[in-house]
Amino acid sequence: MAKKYGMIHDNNLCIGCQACNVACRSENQIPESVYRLQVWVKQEEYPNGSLGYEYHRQSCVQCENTPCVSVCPTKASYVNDEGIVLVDVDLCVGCLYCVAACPYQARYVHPVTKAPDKCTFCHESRLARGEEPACVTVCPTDALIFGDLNDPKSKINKALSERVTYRQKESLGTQPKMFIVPNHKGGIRS
Amino acid sequence: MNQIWGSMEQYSTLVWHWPIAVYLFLAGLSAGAAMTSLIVKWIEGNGKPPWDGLIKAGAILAPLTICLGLFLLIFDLTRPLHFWKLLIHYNFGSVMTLGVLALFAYFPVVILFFMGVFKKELFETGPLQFLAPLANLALAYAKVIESVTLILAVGVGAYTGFLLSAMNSYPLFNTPVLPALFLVSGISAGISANLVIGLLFFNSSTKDGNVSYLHGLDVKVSFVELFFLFILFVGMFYQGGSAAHVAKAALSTGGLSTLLWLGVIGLGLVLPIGLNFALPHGVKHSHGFVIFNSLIVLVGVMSLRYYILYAGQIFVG
Amino acid sequence: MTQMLSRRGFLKLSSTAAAVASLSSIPGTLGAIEESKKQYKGTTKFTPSICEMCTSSCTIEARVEEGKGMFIRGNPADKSRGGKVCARGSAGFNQLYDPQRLVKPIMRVGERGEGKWKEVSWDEAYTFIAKKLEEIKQKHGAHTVAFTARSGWTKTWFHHLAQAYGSHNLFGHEATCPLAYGMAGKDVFGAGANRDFAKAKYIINMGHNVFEGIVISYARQYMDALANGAKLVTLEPRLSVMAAKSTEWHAIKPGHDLPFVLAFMHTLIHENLYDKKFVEKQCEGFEELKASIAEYTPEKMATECDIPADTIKRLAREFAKAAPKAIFDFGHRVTFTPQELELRRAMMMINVLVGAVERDGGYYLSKGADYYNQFIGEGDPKAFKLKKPKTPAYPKVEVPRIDRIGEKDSEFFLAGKGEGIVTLIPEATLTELPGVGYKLHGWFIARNNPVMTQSNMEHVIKAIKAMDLVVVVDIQVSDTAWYADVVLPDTTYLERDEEFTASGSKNPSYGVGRQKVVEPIGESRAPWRIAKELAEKMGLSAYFPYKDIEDYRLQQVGDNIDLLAKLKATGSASFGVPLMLQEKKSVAEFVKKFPSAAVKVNEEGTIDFPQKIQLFSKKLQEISQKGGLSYEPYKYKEADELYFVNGKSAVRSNSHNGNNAWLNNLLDDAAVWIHPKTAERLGIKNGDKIDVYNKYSTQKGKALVTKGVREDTIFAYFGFGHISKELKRAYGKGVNSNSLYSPLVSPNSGMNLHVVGVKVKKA
Repeated sequence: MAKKYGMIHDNNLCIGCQACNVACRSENQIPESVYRLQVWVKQEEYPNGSLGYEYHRQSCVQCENTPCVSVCPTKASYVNDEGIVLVDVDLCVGCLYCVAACPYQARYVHPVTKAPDKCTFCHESRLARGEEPACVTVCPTDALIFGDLNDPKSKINKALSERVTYRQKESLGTQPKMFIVPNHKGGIRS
Repeated sequence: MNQIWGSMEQYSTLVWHWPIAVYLFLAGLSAGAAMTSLIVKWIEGNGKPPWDGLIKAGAILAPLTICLGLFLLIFDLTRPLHFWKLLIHYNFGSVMTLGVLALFAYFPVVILFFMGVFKKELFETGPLQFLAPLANLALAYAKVIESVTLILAVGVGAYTGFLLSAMNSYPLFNTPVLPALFLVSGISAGISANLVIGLLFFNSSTKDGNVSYLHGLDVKVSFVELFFLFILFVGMFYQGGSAAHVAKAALSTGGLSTLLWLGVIGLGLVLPIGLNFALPHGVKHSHGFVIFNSLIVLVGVMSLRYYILYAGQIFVG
Repeated sequence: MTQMLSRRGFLKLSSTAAAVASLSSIPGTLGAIEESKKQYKGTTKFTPSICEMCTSSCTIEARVEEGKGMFIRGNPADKSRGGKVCARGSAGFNQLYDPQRLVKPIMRVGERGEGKWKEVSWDEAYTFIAKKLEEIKQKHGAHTVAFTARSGWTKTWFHHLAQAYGSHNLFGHEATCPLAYGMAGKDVFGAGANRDFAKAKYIINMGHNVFEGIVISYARQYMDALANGAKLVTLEPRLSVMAAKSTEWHAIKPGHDLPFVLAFMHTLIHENLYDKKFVEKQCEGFEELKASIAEYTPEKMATECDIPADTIKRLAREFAKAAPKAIFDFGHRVTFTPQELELRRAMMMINVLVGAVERDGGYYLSKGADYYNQFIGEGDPKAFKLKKPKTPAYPKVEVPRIDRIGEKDSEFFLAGKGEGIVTLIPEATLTELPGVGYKLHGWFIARNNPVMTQSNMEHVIKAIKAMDLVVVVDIQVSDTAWYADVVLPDTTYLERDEEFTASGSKNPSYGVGRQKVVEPIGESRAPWRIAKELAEKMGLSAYFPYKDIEDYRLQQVGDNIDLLAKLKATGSASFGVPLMLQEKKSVAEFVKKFPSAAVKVNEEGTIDFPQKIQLFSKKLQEISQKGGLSYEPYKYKEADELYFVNGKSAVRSNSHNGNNAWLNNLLDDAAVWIHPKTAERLGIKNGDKIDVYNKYSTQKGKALVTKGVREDTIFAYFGFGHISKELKRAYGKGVNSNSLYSPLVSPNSGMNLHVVGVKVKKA
């Protein structure tokens, strides 16, 4: 069966250290002014008055119902057979419809190719060699879990069955393949 | 917590800038100008040459403004030298592809229309004589061409709205009212542009009756436009949630809301309507006033495009 | 019987080993290739090494494709770190290729701190240094030159060179960071203490923020503990990531950790919650300890530390209940009070009182070869000890060190000779310290940045300006290098091999140390080479009887070819089995492996501590009358001032990362945390420019208004406000905490103090 790649970001394990941020930059040679991946750390005050930090992984959530692919006039934005949303730079004219249409602000304009770029689960770099994405590879606290959602025995399916997860902006119907494990102190921000 | 993750400049929700606003204006204007030309042409008594100045105005405005708009669009692309790929690669699920295809058909059709209208002045003699057969063709199949032009013009006028409304991440865009609003606003712009160009450059061939007809039509269209604006915002209020929040912000925040109230609504809609009812017949149908009135309507339409494009991308809730 | 491995023999072995190593740089099974590595081009190299972006020194694996550094991850064979690295580790290649790196030696041409330099050849630099050192030796004595080197490898070379030269004033950075708890371990246990976080069920953490001052192995263990339902209670003045992950966070008053700890201990003792049997059998000095803390009741100490008495008692009871799977975390950067030695001893004694030492989920002692071998008798193999090449005896130095370590009555007797009390150097330069008899005239600083890290900054600069010679070895013109006479370009850690290492946690272990990932860029040279070449210039080559680092490593292993092969192939090696003296199962496994150890086992099936645990320090009593524990209130600030504290940021940590392009882009200016009520009182809004000032300095910063800090406290990340203009990305950005702290050198521990009073106003 074809693979369908997904990822979990666990808010309980994430410490916002940005190892993923830098590893992604290193492996995929991201130009200095832009980022494929950041983790935003936000202070929260919970209903019982206690304080904590929420960690938001800012990167492409690899929708199944992709707003970006739907609006691309030349099919430069497309989903490959492993469920990864990619950009074929050759077909791109730079209209930036996909950049505007993405509800997660996952895309940026690559300073060199001038085409939109974003997290691709290291499709062209590490995945092509059978390795996990750079971010998953370095995360000090194992807050990232990656794998094939179509494989019942995969690490990600095991984790999904054990941990409560939600996805961002689900009401838009995008069906992201990035699952968030909410901070057990704070609950889900839906 | 400090911002330890790097610059957030790339996350600006403002993706499309003023060139797109101007393009939307020009596309709407082109479609409206074409439709206005046809409306005038189809009035009893205007169906034969010499063509009324208002018809000529539209015939030249439609292809010219769409051409200008497309140039703006191409140079706004981040990869402009690759623009031609839009013409041979299609995604029928994308409003932009549909727009490309509509324009692909619209452009030659309005040029044909133009050639038919200006056959005597440009193609019977002179350096462009070799194009006379095309001009004749345009006149021979006038009815078909005009019907097709009308349909395509409606398409072009509406597609500019659908382009934005297809994005469900921007609450102010994501409404079915937008295509309707843009279409009507485009018609209004077309009427006004035809009046300005017609009265300024084709004055001798412009019949007063047609002028007052169009002016009156514009007032009615302005009412409809006001109505659609009203539904847009009131509808968002009643939708609740983030839509209501966005609507409130968009109506009251900063220079953009000023642009809406003073430029779009005040100058472009309420003032023309008001003056129409307040001024005596002689004044309001004088050429000077009609030109002035049309100009403020055009300013209002351009302001509407600018306002919607920016407010929609800035107030995202 | 076995011969020393000849150089040829080694090369033959190492080429096979290298072939093997390049095949299986994934450690684990020899010859096994990670499937994915086959997908790389043939020229791709994977090299296991050790990171140097901070002192955690995590194991890494660096990937180089066609000579260009591409990606760094952790070493997957290192189970304790899981093959992970942090943001700084991931940015290693960015440090390597930084165009603002120093790759040629430079010497100043203007005044110290003017910033005027000229490039010189290595020979010129060496000649200058050798000449100056000789001058100082003749005029004042070689001992008047202090040698500071970064913990670990740099010390090996430069402390050796120092002693060959004739100076015994050897230092690391310890007195600005972890020295006090090392001293406490030595005093209480006679060995280094470690924490078995992963198996603990209750942990008290007082400002040991391993999620931002990242130590990957600790961070993972803490997460394991939390995942297994451990209760984590953090007490610190601000909402660090550690505090946010904890079960409970209590905003303790800065500088007042000791009253809390003493009251906690008071509860344990007076409510009879301690392990009487353990204390009787394994400890001595209990009665003296009990007497010395009699007055530190929770009720009395509550107002000192601003933690309610009921909370102190509750936490102590919960802790005792969870023992022995309980840890009172004794921290890492221990600079919170002038009484650091008392504080860390007290913390360790708490674990002792509940019997949580050499127990799963509690403390355990560092078992390097020496400590481990004492339990193994004749007939069983013992842990190998890495050798040092034979060198002539060092010249004898008759005068005391500036910290008087080695003298019978030195108050700093608990510091090692390689650690020293570096914080005394500025004062020892400007004045003659009591009992020392001389001033310092030179400072040789390798991979250390005292201008940024030793408080007080202006005091350090003043001392530097008063010296006859200041030499800095660094990869960039750091804030200290800015004031130097000559700056020698070190290689980055990716460009050098270093000596093999030996250490021990639950059993002895060995590491291949750092390995060269790429050839040195420009004219940068590794410390082993700088020390050797400088020694040659100084006529001291007899002390450096090895051709190069390979030669040195050969001499370290002697004829232990097995160890050598294993290190080269897999990157690490260990000896024996983990040993927890008080865990029956572990002792049984140990005896199975080393039958001669059976005689050490007592009737309960455990092994007694080789020396009694000291709950009262006879030597401290003798030297400073501080054998027991006491609390001396200290005035950190005026009543109308705020406490100023700092901490490490996960993306920068050490000061030397400030100018790293990728890391600087993540965070270049750390805004100062202020409580909303305090901000309102001062008319400050979030993002406003502010002045943070006291009698030492005025620092310019930005305000970050947050509830995550006490009302009477402000917080800023350390490592900002650089003053070296050659650090172009980092220069002038943020608050320089070091210029606000006092130059205090704490009694008995020598630690700097990172709590001070400041005022804040809108700029």
